[in-house]
Amino acid sequence: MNGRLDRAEIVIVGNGIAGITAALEARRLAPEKRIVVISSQLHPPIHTPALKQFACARLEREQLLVHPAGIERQQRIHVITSRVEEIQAQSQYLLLSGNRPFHYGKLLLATGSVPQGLPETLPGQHFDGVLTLHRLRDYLDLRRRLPTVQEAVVIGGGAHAVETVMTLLYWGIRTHWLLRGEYPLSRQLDAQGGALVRETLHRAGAIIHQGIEVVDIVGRIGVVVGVITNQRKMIPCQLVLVCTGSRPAIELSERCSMPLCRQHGILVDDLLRTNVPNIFAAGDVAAIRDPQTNRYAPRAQWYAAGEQGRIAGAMLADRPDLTRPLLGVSWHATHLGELSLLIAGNPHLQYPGIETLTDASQGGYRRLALFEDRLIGYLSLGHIQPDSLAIKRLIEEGHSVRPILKALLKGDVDAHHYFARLQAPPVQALPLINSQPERQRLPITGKLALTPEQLPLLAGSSPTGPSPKVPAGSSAYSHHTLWSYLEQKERP
Amino acid sequence: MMQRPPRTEHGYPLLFFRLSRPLRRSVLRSFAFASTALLLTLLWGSLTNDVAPDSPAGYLLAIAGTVCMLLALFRYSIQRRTARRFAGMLNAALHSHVAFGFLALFLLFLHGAGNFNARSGTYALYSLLALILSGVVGRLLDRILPRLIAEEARTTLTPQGEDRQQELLAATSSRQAGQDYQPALQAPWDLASLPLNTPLHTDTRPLSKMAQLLELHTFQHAYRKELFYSYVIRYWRLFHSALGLLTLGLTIWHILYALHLLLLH
Amino acid sequence: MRKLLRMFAPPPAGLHKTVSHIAQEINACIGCNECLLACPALSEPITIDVLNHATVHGPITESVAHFARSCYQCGACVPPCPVGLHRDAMMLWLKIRLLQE
Repeated sequence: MNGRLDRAEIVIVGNGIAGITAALEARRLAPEKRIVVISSQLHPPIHTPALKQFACARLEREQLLVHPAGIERQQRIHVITSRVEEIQAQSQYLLLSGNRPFHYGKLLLATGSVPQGLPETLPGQHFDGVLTLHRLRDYLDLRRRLPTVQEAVVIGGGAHAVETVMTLLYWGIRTHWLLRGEYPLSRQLDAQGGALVRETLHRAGAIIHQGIEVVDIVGRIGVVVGVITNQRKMIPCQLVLVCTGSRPAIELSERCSMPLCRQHGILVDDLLRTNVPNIFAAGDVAAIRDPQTNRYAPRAQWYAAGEQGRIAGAMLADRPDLTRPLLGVSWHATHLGELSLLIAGNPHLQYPGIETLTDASQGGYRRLALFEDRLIGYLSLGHIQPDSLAIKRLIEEGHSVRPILKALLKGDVDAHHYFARLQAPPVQALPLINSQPERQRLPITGKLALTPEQLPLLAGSSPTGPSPKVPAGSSAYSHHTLWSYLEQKERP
Repeated sequence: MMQRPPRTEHGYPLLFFRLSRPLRRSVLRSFAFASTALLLTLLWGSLTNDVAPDSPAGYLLAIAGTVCMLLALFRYSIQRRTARRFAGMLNAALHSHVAFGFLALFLLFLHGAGNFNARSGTYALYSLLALILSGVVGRLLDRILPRLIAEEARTTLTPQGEDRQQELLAATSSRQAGQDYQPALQAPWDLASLPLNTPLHTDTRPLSKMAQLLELHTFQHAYRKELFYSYVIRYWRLFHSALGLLTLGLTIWHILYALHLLLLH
Repeated sequence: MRKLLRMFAPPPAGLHKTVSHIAQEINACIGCNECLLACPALSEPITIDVLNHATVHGPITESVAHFARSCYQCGACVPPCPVGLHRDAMMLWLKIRLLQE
């Protein structure tokens, strides 16, 4: 069947969470269209964030699947295992390996990301025992080796490196963690937060080396035996794990006959359209707009990739009316050892008018960025993970957080309960018969502007007809207001 | 070959029961344990007439009962905190906890053999009995209250699962403003507003407004009941744990008393 | 002392969530299975893909239905979640669906 298949209305390159979600959503909205997913990946989509649990042997392979096995067949989604060599955008066809053309009506690029790895010039990186952890086969390899390893080195300072260190400690392996900077997650955390993470890992048993870079990897008869650092120190080990982050897999987009605009990823608008007609991009490979800063960057997170897949699916099925409003602010939540990390929005934004509050009590660390009464960013490191999606929503909807400021600082906020209170005023305060409604108590509707294009809705000029005006002094808030304010500050 | 779509289960009866394989295993294991203990007790009882608490038989029963009690008290908590777990392990541990608890009560009753002179022992036994009863009540609450929570939550949701209160609030306010009813949009990430066939609230008679206000009151009441049931589940567990600690304390007191008597002799 | 108190403190109880929020949480689930490992009501192994698929709109299989009925709503599944999701609210939605059907 696949041998004769050479065209489809909807073609998706990449079989990760963004790709499969787009395929399922497109099938739901366009039951009649032919949908094909082309990928060189040999297995169905898996929960890649759960690979660390797999490495700890807390999960088996079958438990990694995102969807029940056989869902592609059930939904009539054809999967072709092949590599895409180039895109002929004018004639709307792909060239697969073996010079096989494949015509598309609409194309989604969901090629994901590739690991940064080690510098090309670093000697010894090809010894057996040096693993760059990214895909399932890397973790399968790791899991086979772990029972035989006594000492290991982890290179990298991000969340992935932290999780890898914890995995090795779980197995009782003596673990050296090499950090280039003074503290881990230097892009997401400030010095205080980073120091807390470092201390937590140190207490868990990791041997942390700060300000260290690997200059050489030494081996014996093809197998790694240790690393040499810039301080001319040799750290013996049987395993070197490289967790230096990832970058968007844009190689295919560079082989497109019509140039695709790129900026740290394939540039897309709010509906995931690239600059080339009928080509979309979603997932780790797409550079999307941050509604708070208007900057474009890939959002390499599981949830963001899934949501982008849903939007892309609606666009592929010609249903832009069913796309959700923007993904919202960036959001990342995970466990780092015994600490729970949550970063929502931009907690490190520093501009006049933005108030920064921190709290380091109860063995954790919280950092809030406030603009007037609204939360711009939230960073929490603690023993309990707050309701992270509710906090994300707090930022996006621009509610006043003064009533729960202390709870946010202490890290024991029940954001969902706060929403219930915001949206359910006491019955006594409800509009009575023959009295004027208290519009200010109306729940925040989905018409809150997150983009400049949506701003006219706030002013009452809805394209569908007159809509209730949001009165001055209400809890409505526009990110556009913040952006304009910040822009004005930047201008000389 | 076309696969048949999986059958959808229906219903939520109060007295649901399913003899799954793990439950069968737990029951058989507990039964084997209890039978062995009973057989040994009967055997010992047939060999000697002295079953007083401070006889060899009594001491044996006390040790066995205390070991069962300690296993019931601590094994589940330890397994809950262990890093190496598999799905279903805690459920099996919970069954063991129940089985060891009943076994401990049985063995310690036999140890007492109707002798309630020692105050510490009597208090420890009563405390253990209260602990077991609180566990039984807790299991009943665990069966009944979640269903009640689901029923309360259901009254506040539309058949599609959205919040009825929000719709009612929006309908009440927009109708009073004299505008056409517009369905309230939910959170910004919702795919769409209400289905097109949602009935419009055009009835403006005062009686219907009062009915809507009463309905909102019902929602608030349902939320409160839901939270109340949730907290009963949680705090009953805390109460059960507290009783467990009390029982342990009283048992230690009784053991110290018994040791004191032994040393005196 | 704080650790001791934390050991005994019951997990906070929250209100139910609407299906939109449940769907959002399902989409955010990373499939680590920590919630299932922490659950004292789960007797037979269920994979997270089957559970997530059944929760919002999919058909409820026999094993998922039994799990949903058995769930005590104790909240033990919430603290282990690395992403801060509420599996108890998702299970409650399954219970509501079973009641509705």
